[in-house]
Amino acid sequence: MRFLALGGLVLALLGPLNAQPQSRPDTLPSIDLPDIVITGTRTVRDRMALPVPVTVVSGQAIQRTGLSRLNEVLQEQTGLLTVPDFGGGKVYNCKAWMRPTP
Amino acid sequence: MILIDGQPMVGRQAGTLDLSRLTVHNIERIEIIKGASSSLYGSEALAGVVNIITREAEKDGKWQGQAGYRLASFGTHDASATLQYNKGIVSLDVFANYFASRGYSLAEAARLPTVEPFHNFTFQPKIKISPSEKLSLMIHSRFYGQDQDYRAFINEALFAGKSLSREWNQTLLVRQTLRKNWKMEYDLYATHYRFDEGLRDAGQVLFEENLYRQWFYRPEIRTHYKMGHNTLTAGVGMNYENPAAYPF
Repeated sequence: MRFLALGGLVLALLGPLNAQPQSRPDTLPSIDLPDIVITGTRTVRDRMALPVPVTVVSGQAIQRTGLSRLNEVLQEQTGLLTVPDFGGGKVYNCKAWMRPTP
Repeated sequence: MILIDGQPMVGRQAGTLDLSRLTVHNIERIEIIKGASSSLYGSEALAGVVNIITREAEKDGKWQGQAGYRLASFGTHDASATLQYNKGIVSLDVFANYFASRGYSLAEAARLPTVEPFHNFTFQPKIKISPSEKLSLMIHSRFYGQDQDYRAFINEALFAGKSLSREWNQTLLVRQTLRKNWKMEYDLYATHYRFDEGLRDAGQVLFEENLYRQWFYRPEIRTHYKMGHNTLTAGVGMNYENPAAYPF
């Protein structure tokens, strides 16, 4: 009985999907982004052609955060570990090293 | 590893780099590569690379200026100004920033603040001269300086002094198109970082002194040869590095 009920649920889920006409246009709004070139390989290249994953933080995104110094911006990035070092008043704010993402 | 326009920052003290040396107000974008990139950038890039691309003058054929000022708590002042020009063969982008703070305390009972008052200054002129479409010369400079109070209580006696940081980055880059599919790049990069710190007692007698000096030079010649969809990149270059620290 439980199996039948589950089967009915699957069919109910599949039903409306199958009922969709195949040629219906995508109604989700989309924007065509310009190809982003990058210096990750020390030469200007298309981002999609790079052999390594690259995170790009745009100047506009930085401006929106309202931050002033680079340590504050890098602290916000996933996969980067920055370490505050108040070392007895010698260095006022933050030093950092990086750790690769697991 | 931190790069400014593709060139490495120096001045690591005890292995760490003070990232607050960089202002973000003239950043076009930041490119972050996580994971080893040592084959491209050397052993320092074992964990990854952060490349900071600074703004360049837009092509519109006139003078353009921008200025900004921010006042924040703890007596923080942040002032920036940019001047841009791009017409004919010359492109110019001059950026200046002043950043200062009164400092702050994380523990109110502490006799000395966690962060002592400081002020710093960044000046970054970028010039690009393109006599023809096949040839361009770029001169990028960056100057940074910070002065910060430095005080300590040792055996109930107050010692006072200053922490001074100075940084200079200089790039000379010539890009040349020899043929439609053959490009050359001649690159010369030099940078210097110095740090001076001293503590004096009430009678102005020097009690402690910390010094740090680093020179870094990197000349490079690179060539790009395009064959259909593929590009062959080859180059030759050298590093000369001269760090010195006292008393480490």
